[in-house]
Amino acid sequence: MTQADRPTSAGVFVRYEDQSFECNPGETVLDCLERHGVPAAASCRTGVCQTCMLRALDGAPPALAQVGLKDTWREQGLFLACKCVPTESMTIGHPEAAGLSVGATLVAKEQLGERAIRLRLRPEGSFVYRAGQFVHLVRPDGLSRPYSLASVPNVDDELEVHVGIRPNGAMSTWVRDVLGVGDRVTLRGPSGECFYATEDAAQPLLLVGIGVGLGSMLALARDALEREHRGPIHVVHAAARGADLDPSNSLRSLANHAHQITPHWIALDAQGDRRFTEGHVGPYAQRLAATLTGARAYLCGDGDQVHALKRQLFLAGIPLQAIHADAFVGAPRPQS
Amino acid sequence: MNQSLFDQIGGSKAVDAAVDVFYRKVLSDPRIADFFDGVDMDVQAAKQKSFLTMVFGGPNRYSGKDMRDGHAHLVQRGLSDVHFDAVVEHLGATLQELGVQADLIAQVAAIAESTRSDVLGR
Repeated sequence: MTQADRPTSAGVFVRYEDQSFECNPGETVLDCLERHGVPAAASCRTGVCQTCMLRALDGAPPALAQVGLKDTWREQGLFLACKCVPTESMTIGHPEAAGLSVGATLVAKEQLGERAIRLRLRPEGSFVYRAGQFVHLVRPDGLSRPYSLASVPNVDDELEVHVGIRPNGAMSTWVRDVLGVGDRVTLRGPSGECFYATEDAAQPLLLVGIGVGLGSMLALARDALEREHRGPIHVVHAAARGADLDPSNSLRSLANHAHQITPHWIALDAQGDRRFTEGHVGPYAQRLAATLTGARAYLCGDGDQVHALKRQLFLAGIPLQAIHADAFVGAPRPQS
Repeated sequence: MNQSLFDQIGGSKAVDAAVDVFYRKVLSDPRIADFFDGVDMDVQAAKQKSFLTMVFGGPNRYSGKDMRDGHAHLVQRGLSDVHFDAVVEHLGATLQELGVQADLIAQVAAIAESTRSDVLGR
């Protein structure tokens, strides 16, 4: 298509960080930002290196701007600025931009095993998410931390979040000691690429939840079943100690109800519980992956462990585009 | 045959097929694996795709300066000929595994070789 054949896009604006920039017809988002003196990272400028990746916050970006991106990334609106020629105005943000904020009321709070708390929240407005994603919980003073969403949209009425209690955790101790039913918090998000995205209903799925990451994986598994996934679904819960495995027996009940789901429990220290495997999740997951031809893997939990596991599963043969990892980075340690 | 090198190798589909194979070889090689540590794997894979696109003779806009700037921090950490050679070795092995003809592999190796001084900051 030549310049003359393109539909006129007069009046097309790119909204970025509270400013609006008018795009020239046929101009890419990258060109537009640079022309307005907005700092925008870029490198190859041919749609390959992903340095210029940004996120569309309202509506889907042009398909051409998403070529080469992983499926769950496309669904989250990630796109390449150097390849994006907008045909209508768009609002954009950084890839890590957690999205919009919405207020929510706490409707239930209960202990989950020894080291976690289950919260049920009712958002004040629309909160659209995919099962398996996570959300930032924001305290009234602005402190925010990410937590897995354990609920499934269209199945569960409220949002469910599992908060792992850290001994000196600013947010988790506040949740445990201060936050009460009826209180209001702010939610920002959703974020994350761990959600059901396969077009192959027979594909083996390997879901690994590390610590409180299990919540996301159970939600994803339930969502997969809702969407009539036919292939085997392996859900692995990994934790440091046996006492932290499957604290509310959710994995066990899910597996009992759905024969497609094979549960696995692994702890560094099984604490004598013979139901659990003792060992490191890495080699265990690798051996499991080797038995699942053409599998897609989802990993959720503590940052370092998730990164290590992603590498191990990739080396075990799962394509990188078929590994979806949401790694929670621990809160900064307090200065003392 | 008037097809470009990139087309003969298989274009962007060949790059897609090559990236996981190549990246696994690099991560499994103790001589160079450390240089790829600590970088998000998806980010790294995208850079590998750019690199492969370039050495397969594909479209790219990298200049000698880009190669120099991009690798300067690694050169500071000790990146040298030994590491460069290891990468070229894995590049060749990857293409062999994908069934690319020897004369095309030689052309790719030549393109990679032409970046040595820039990559190593000489």
